[in-house]
Amino acid sequence: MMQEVILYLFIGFSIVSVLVILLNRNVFYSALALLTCLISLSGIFGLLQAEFLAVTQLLIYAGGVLVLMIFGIMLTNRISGKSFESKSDNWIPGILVTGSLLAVLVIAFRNSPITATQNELATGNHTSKIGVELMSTYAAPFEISGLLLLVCLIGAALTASSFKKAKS
Amino acid sequence: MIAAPEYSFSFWLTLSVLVIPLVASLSCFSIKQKIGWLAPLISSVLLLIASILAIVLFFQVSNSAEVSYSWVWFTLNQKEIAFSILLDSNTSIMILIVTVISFLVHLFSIGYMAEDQHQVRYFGMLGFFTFAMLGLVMSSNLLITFIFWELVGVSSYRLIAHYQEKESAIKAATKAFLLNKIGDLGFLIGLIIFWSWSGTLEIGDPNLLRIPAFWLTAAGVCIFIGVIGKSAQFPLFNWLPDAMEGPTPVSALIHAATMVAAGVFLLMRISNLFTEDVFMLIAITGSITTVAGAIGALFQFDIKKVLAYSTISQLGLMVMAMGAGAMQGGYFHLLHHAFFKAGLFLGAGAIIHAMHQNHQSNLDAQDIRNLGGLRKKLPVTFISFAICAAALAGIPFTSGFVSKELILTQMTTWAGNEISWRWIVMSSAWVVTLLTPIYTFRLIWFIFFSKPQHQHNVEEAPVIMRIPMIVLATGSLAILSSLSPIHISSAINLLQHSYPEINSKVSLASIVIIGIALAAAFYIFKNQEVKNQKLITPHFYLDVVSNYFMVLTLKLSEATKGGDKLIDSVIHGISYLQITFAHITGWADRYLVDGFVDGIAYSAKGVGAITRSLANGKIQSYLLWAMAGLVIFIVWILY
Amino acid sequence: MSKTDLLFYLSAFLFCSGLLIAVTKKNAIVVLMGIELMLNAANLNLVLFNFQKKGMDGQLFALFIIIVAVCEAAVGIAIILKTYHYYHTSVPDQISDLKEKN
Repeated sequence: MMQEVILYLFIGFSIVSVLVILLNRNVFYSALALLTCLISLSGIFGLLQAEFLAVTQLLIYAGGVLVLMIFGIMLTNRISGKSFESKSDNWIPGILVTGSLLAVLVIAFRNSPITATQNELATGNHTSKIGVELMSTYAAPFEISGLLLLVCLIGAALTASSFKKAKS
Repeated sequence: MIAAPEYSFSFWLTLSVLVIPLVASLSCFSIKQKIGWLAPLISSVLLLIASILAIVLFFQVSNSAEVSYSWVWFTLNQKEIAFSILLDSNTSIMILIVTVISFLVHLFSIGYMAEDQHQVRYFGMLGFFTFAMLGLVMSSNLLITFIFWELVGVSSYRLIAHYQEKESAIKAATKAFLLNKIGDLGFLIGLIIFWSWSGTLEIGDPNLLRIPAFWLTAAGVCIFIGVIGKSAQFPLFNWLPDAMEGPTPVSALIHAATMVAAGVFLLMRISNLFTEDVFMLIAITGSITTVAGAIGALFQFDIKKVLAYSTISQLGLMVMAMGAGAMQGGYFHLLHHAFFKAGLFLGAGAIIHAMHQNHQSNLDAQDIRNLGGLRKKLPVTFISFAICAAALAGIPFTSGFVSKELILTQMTTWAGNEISWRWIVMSSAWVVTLLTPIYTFRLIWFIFFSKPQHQHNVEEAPVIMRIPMIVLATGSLAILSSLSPIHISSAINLLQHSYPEINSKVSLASIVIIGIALAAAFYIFKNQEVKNQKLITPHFYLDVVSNYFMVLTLKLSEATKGGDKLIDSVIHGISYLQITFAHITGWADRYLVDGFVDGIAYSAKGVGAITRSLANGKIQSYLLWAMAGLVIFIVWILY
Repeated sequence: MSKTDLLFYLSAFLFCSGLLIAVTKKNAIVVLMGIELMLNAANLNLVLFNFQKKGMDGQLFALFIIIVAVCEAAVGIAIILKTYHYYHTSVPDQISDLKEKN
């Protein structure tokens, strides 16, 4: 019962925060709303027997990506005046397209046979399983993702650094 | 029928002779005004080459039989029109004469036209004139002949009107053009008759003769009308004296080699197509022309007009001879005439040039009353002019005598012993034999012998103008065409024709007549003061005749005008109907058809604008439309 | 409606709103946020599938997606910074080199 309440709470939080991102104009508030959304998602992950993912989500998104984004906001927007303003456009065609996509997805879920196979929100420790899987079955993707991270680290650093100055 | 093209040496020779004058003409026209002095040089050198090639060609052809080439131009209803060339000895000697005289005229023109502003145009047209005449001579297809015939007409028109500033020159050119057009129309009708009945226009084609006799006669008459126009025969000869408005070398060319010779040459070329009636018409026309021209020459005071009328007279003589069946005589006379008439014109040109150089512009340099006593001032001109004039008069030891005698002999044979209309025709030949020495003597006398009315400090023309005159005078001597000065029978048989035996009675008679004429002329003109010349009225009946023709033409045009008005009103009615209909269709066109088309165009434009607005350079809208496409794709796949 | 169904609808909703954010918002960083949101919605979906079936495949996929998303976010922010330096704006509309020049 407690779990269900928490689940609905998280769902509510995420929906509200997403609506905040959509509707408000301040980039900074959007970032904070996204943080709320991601945290609530990590909670949902935790409730869905994915504790490792929940922690990772919390660490990487809430701790890493969001900080990165806030830094980006700080760097790309002038702090004075209406610098955090973020206009929006294409509302009508955007809503049309995304609405139709949503409809398609909902209808697809409705018609798919995978619903209602397991309704129980069980708790348990699957972290060790993930570790074993990572080191055995998913060893190659794991290594490659490590390489990807390295490359992306170097690439991002190089891209963001003032290359011209370094050159000159 | 049409021989397969055979690209032998003489073919290329012929082609190059034909093309070189055209090249000369084109290079003259393409030359820049700044280096315009090059044009006479280039064209003269090219014409010299053409003349040399023509000489080679002449010997090439006279050594072998007739050569013909043909290549199909187009095919109409399985009937072919071909560019065909027929080269026999007649043609090749005509080519030779045309190129040589054209070259000499070019040479003369270098001196004569030295101060002219429009040398480039002049020499270009000279080259084109020569090209057209050569094409006319070479072609053995009547349609191609007609095309070149027209080209000859156009270039002569252009050259007569060379002095564009002078209104009289323009009028003269227009007159020449219009009178020629009458003849050309006849020629064209004749061609149409031939084409519609026989389906071929090849001169050598026997099918041409296999048409009904009436139509054959009609076609012959029509083509002869063309000859009348081009060769200045009665009644279409008025343009030739007027054409004297052109530069004198052009007159030489027109009279000698290119323009008027075309008609006589054509007569010779297609003589096998004429029926007896046509021959009769030809003979009578020629006899009228020859006498009229001779009388006209007798009363003119302008050097060039005297020569022009003498040309008319000589052409009439040739045409008459051909009408009388004396083909060789007439043709021979044409060739000789080309030489001495060109020489006479160039001499006249030299005199006029000398007078102009003397800056006595207040005098009319062409009026023989203003000249006189030039014998000692211009010795070279005098001698060459005199030789050519002697040839014109038909004095023995000149070429004119030889051919005239040939004509007279053949005419006499043709007339027969019984008195008929042929005797009248024949007698006109004798009358001309009598009259020609008189007017020739008159011309020579007034220019070179009579006491000068004014003091002339003239100088001989430059060398470049003297050379052509000397060459032409030499060519007018009998020695070139006949070893014997009196009889042609022992001639170097260049033309490979068998000439009839010369009747020595005829020769004798002609010599006597010429002698009498010269004596009479000497007696008439010796003591005659120049002032007394005015007693002889210049209003001779030819002008009256031509005026009468003019009035008649005007009357005719008045009459046709009345008819025109009737036709006009009908045409007006029809055209009003048409206009109304046109308005209706125009409205329909504008609002229905155009509206439809515009609608399509606008809708296309609208669609284009919509699709273009998608590509607005914004990444997010690209993304949006990509997603829209993806959604549509998913829906398409799933449902 | 069961809870997993609700979560499926939640993930669809998150995905679509992420797309809407990415399409409509004019700030590049917010666009990036929308993309992150979409990736998270996918993650949620994968975790849900993993929850319904035995085995760890879904979670591992989600893990890799998180890794890729991190890389993407890092590189994306670096690019945004760079374009900001270059164009002096972080609004993608004003960067219209792809549009035909009038």
